Amino acid sequence: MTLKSPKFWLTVLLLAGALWMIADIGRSMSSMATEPADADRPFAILPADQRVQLPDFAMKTPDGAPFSLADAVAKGPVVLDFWATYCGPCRLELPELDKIRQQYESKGVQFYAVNSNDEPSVVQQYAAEMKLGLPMLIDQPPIVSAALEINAIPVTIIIGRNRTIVAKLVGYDQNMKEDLPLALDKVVADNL
Amino acid sequence: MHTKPILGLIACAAVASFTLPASAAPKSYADITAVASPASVKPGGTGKLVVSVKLVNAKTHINANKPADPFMIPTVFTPGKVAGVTFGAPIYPKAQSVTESYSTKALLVYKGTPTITVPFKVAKTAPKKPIVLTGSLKIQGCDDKSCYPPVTQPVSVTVAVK
Repeated sequence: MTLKSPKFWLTVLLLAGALWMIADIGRSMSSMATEPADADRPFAILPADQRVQLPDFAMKTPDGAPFSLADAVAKGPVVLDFWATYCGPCRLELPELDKIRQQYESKGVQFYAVNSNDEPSVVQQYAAEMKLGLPMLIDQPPIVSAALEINAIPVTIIIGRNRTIVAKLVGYDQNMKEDLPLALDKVVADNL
Repeated sequence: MHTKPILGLIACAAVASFTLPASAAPKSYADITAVASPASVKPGGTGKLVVSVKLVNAKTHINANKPADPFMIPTVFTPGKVAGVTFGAPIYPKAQSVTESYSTKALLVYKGTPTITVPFKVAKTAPKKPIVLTGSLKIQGCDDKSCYPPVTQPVSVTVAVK
């Protein structure tokens, strides 16, 4: 095979293509490690045209105090986590979410764990036993869960300005511990 | 020079860079069916109501009738009130002990297609005509990442009395 051989140049071309693709995959993986840009990762920030605006949902605290989503969002980004005591993945996730809450409340992010199944007294008791500082909300009857078409829990959503869903995670994912803070950093920095 | 390895490398890279779409969640994670055995019973005779729960996904389980974790919602069949019929206690399948990725302790669950058998007896005075056996089954399922809300599904089966 010589320099004038078409076979030689074809081989060079294929080799260059393969190297470019490998480099591209490497760049993608590197990007995944620093920001939740990959749609397969938890809390990938949704493109602006895919952000759904929520109505002003009203819920209650376990004590019966009213909660307005609009009022909460007016103060800053809101993270809602839908859970129930029967849900093992949710019970694993709540303490992890509570740790993230402790880091981000000072940055203006509000966290709420929303329960559509358990008695409010059970929710309060569980939060106390687990030493969760995470504020609890009651969605009973499950109007908000139904409106958001939540068929399985946990579901965690980040709500930004104008009550728009900026990012979402359905189910438990151990990458949440890394990816939720990254997403929140972006939401806070870009005022999403 | 061999070009096959290079082509193979390119094919692998193309597959690796392809992103699979997220699969849609099933509308229902369990198909519940019921049959009576035998299909016809004499007045004063006995039979069994057999309720089957086909779990659509192999990763999905429902909690056993006596789950290990007090927070778990048990599988419970509640017989209806049917004139001329007496139900016995439901017989639940043997629970499997599984440890999911999210659980620190083993859970007692049913997987696959668990069946619950409910014995029944037709009164000696029952008229010779079809009767409808009724009841409801409460289940609550989870897979390795999510849990579904508890559902109570009505069950009804017609049995001929002759």
